[in-house]
Amino acid sequence: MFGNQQYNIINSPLEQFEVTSLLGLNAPILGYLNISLTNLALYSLLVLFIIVSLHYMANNDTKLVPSKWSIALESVFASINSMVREQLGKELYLPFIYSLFFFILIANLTGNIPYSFTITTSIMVSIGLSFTILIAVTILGLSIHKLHFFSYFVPSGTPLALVPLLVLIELVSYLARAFSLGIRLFANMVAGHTLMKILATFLYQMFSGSLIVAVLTLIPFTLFLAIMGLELAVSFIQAYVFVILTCSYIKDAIELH
Amino acid sequence: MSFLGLRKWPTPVAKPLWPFIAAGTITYFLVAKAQDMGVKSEAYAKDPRNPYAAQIAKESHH
Repeated sequence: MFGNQQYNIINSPLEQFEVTSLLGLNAPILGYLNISLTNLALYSLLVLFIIVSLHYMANNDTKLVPSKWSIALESVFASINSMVREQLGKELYLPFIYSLFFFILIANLTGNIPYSFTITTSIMVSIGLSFTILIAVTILGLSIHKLHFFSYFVPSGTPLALVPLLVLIELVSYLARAFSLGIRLFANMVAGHTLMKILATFLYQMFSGSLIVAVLTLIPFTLFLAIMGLELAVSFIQAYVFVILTCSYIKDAIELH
Repeated sequence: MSFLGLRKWPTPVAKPLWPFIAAGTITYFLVAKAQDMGVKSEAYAKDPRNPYAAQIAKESHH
């Protein structure tokens, strides 16, 4: 029986990424209606709630002295603002970049809570985001430059003989952005969380052994804590990398190289 | 109208961000299409976890 219990505890490290239905409604009305609240939906709502409450809590513009929360939020805003200004030269797209940064950051950070679900480990969320950005950037470029937008695929000073080859290469590299942006975020989060799960399973096994082994396990446990710190850093870095690349894609669409 | 009583900022949102809104709509349809294809695919059409399994089975009878 004990072995059976252990078997129940040690699951596949990839099981945490599974989207499951928590609450479902199936009804044969309106064709066939299926509304279900999945863990992905629940955590998306949680992320929205946390972002809104964070901004509500940090909002104390009626007071002369800002709270710690508003100082923190204002410095995050200032860094994103300066990044957008550096890349694009104007603040026109700041609301989008700011929202994107907070969405990915809070989604990544809530995922670091043990037993929780990380919405950015869903390929639909991360690839969906990068697809949206690529399509939007293409629409933006076409609406600004009209047909001249396609000169983006021909770098200036290209010999005529090389144009067909270069257009192909540029087109592939342009379309690859739709995947590379999302897969970067997705792969980093999945790899980190899988590693944490595997290490935590090992540590659990070692801690539940004899007393000496449990005491000795404190050494790898400190390493594990360091890896958790690294994972927190990755949450920030990935959110930052995602928005900085989004900025540079928007810049490419506006300025065409 | 201000949001939750927060201060209003005169920031244009809909006008500069219309390509992103349009792209979001396109992605929404693409994801819906992908989901539909996945739900009806050979591998998952008869899966017990598929909430549309009963409907697909019914439709294939016709």
